[in-house]
Amino acid sequence: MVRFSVLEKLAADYGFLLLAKRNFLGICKNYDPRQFNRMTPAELEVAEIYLMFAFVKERAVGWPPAHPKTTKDVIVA
Amino acid sequence: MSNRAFRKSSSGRSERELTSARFLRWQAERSVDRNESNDEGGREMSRETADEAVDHYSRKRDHSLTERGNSEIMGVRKFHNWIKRTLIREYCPYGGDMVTVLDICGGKGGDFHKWAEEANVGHVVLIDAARGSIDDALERYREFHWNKNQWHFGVTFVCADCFGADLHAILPPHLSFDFASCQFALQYAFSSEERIRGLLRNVSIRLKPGCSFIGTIPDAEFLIKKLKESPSPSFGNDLYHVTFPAKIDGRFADFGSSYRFYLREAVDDVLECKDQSSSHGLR
Repeated sequence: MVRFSVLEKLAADYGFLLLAKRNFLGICKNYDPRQFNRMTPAELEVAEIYLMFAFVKERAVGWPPAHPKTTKDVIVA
Repeated sequence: MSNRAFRKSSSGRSERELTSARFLRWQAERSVDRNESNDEGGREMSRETADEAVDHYSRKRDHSLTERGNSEIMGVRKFHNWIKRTLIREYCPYGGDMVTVLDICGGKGGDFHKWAEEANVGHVVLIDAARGSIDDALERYREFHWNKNQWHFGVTFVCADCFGADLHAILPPHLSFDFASCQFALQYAFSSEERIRGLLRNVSIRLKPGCSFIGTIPDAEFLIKKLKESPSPSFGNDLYHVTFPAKIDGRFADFGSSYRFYLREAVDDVLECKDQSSSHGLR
């Protein structure tokens, strides 16, 4: 589980900027309120647990990546 | 993806199709040295959590469509799939062969349908630490790509710990991503700061500037609210329950504070880690 402000702060260190953050019921309201009617109260409570996030890579941290020195541990079958 | 991927081989199949059969086997235990002695409590906790989650998902077998249709949590499954489908449609570029996505902790390939139908992507790199899940995903892909000719994207399967391994050293050098997704799994990375930073580094290093990274996670604020309302350190309903450690002194560590989560037919009382600011008490 994640307290979102901490994730957002850490993500910024890697060049990510927050685009959107919404809990699942908020997504329902925005995109298709009919989803509410398809769930039981118990299912709605499960839905309340989760949220979504979308980051955009704003800064080019580590881009372009230098080629790794070795891939010898990869087994290609 | 390089232009090389679209050239036709002598067998008449594009190299992208041939690439789809490529199966990169990375021994997850190599990236996490299990024999390494480590006295730091947080690290032990993060390893315990990671191992339990990996074992759990590796053991879980893939359900048939009939079984899924009879599921007692069908409503939750459908809702979660609708959420993921909506997010992919909203944020993933619809680019045909030119779009390559990174599916972090992609499990049994449950999102393959969505990548095909909502974004028509060209290539998916699925990474998961659970070898059993990777095997199921490969079988699913074979069925739909080769037998049913439905999914036209290529897939690279990688069995690796997305939070601990250096994916940049594992992945083929030419691969870069137009989109990254981590669904219902990022909370496991919050077992330690090192591991969540490892995940973010892995996503960032090959994601092209201007491209998006999406995910779904449990909301700490909601769980704490429920915990405050509950007379015991456990709460839930017929479908799910969350159990915090019996002794809670009102404060949690920033990383590695754990609780157990059960969701009927989906998550069997697995240890999950929560992130809490030390200043964010339960008073």
